[in-house]
Amino acid sequence: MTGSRDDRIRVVVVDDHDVVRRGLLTVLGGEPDLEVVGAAEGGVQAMDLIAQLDARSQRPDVVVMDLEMAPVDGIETTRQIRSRYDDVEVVALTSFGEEERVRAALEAGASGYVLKDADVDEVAAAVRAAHRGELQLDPAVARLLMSSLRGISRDDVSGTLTSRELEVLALVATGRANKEIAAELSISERTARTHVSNILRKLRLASRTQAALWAVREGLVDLGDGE
Amino acid sequence: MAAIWPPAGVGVAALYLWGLRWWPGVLIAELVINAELAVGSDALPLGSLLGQQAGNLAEVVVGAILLRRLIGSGAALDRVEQVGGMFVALAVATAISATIGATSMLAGDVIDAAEAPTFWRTWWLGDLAGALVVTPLLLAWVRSPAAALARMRTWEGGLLIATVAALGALAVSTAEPVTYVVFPALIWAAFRFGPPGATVAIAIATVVAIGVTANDVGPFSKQPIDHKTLSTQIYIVVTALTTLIMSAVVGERERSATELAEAKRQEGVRAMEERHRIARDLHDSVSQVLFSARLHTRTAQRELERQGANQSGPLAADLRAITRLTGAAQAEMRALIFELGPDPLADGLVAALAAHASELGIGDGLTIDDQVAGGRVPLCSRAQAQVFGIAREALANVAKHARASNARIRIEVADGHVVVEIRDDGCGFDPDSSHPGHFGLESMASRAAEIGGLLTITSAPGQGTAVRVEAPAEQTDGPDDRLAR
Repeated sequence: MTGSRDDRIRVVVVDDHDVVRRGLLTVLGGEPDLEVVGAAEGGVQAMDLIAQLDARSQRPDVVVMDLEMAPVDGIETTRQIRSRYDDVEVVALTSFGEEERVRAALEAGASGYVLKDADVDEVAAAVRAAHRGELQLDPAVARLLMSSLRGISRDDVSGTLTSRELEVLALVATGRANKEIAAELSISERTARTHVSNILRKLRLASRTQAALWAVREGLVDLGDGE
Repeated sequence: MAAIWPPAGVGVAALYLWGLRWWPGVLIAELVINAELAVGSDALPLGSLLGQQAGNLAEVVVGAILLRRLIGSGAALDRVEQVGGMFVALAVATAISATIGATSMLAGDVIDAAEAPTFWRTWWLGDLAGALVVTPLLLAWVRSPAAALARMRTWEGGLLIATVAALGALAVSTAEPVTYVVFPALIWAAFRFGPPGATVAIAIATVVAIGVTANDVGPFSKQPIDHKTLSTQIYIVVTALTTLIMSAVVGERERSATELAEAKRQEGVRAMEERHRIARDLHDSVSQVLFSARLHTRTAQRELERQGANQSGPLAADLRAITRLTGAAQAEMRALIFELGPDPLADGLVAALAAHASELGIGDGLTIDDQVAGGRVPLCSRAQAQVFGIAREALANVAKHARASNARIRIEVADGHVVVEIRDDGCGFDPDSSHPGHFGLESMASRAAEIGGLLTITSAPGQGTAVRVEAPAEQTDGPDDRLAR
């Protein structure tokens, strides 16, 4: 672990169930490109752990986060992590895939959503995708969000989105923040934000997540499905 | 001597309602009422008068004390034991007055020894009949007169009063022995108007009986004076007691119905909480362990790969079997937790249908066409649960039997009805050949009937199936209280 200041992905595991933490440690620890740098049993402990790691300049790259925890749940913890460390990605790992919960997690800033009864390898795949800056959703969850996604079909808006807006939308769909989009397209962050809000208005959607899903549904981009 | 003597009952009720410290008021009232006995032409000896006053005061005070003891304070006479307790208290209290009064009169030579038993009996029954009419009337009305009045001030209340007066007059004014004709009206009062109505009806019947008998008509008037008084008194006591007991029984019945409904509701809440607790426990224990088992199995598989073991060997096959089995157990747990778990409708019908479809693994070819603004369906939670139950059954059929490639749920509000239609392009079936229980058709139909909805199932072999439920739209329970959860 101390060997090379390696380019392995540093992972923190947060789950209030001891058995799950141990299972995740073994399975993620077995991945050659991942390094589990810590585990926490709750939201408060997770924030402490990340602060400690950060102080040793070992800030994790990805946090695998259980959503059902008390007293501070995974969604709130995700929000805190994302607001304090904008380069730390969060993958939500949960037993339940209800739409509201998925939305809440994504709006809190999670960039992956894996169900605990999905294929075990999905966890590692989601960690890698998150590290690449992609949005990875469990296929069942993605379908759920998609099927309830309102908004108009592509044919109705063809021509209304400018080519610049389509570019921005494609980046939104890969989970990029405004700042990253701005850097990528060499525009100001403010301009990027304006593009995004124009897109939402034109598509009659409410959030970036919905815009991303819309882009996927309409075939503008592929949903990052891991490897 | 009057056939009935109500002041004693008024005094008992007053001291019972407002407290024993008001006894001087009772004494003053007695003195005022009896003033004519002291100063009139046939004034009584002073000693007899004082004895009688003392007896009357003792009657009222003892009556109030006994009433408090036997039926507690604030009784509404809606329990049979309260009516019984009140009868005992009034019977004992009036016996005291009659005994002291008769003794005083005997001592003052107003009556002679031969007259004493009849005198005592007439006194006692007169006070008792009076008390049985006015004490319950005051008890039933004084605590909340507005509510009692509101209950009576309907066309039915007016009709009741007229009927009691008419039948009461008939009962005591014809020479025929039809005294009992008043009872249907009194039973009506007891059943429909509770103690307030019953006591008013008793009072009306009593006033009519006394008025008619005093005018020397009716069956009682032909009797000698003592018998006439006795008949009237017995008539009033029996009428009052019967009606009061009846209205108390009705009160008890109404209360136990309310209590039963409340107990059922609480039982339902408890059962729901228990189910949620079980779901939480299963999720916290079994589900997490199963997930961990899958993680460890995966680790073992990778270790096996690393060692270059034969992937078709028995160990690898066993690990695959373990993965499959734990996966199946996870799915079972998930379904169970979904069944037991928090209200699936917490986020509304549309979200629940979408979630359930994805649970069943038919999210792929399923379109949800939601025509309801904001996804909030105008149905109460009970109706939503039944509609959801029907849709769940229909979706289960799609998943299990239909071999469909596409399914569509359409939700709309039309003509004051919420319409939910589940349509698939699968193999269909012949709805006329009975499939007992097989497709849950009976359960869907009974759910629809429960909410006054209409269930239509259209299908033919090879033609797909459409299950359509129309439920009357109504006010949802509270301003979006489901949102708050």
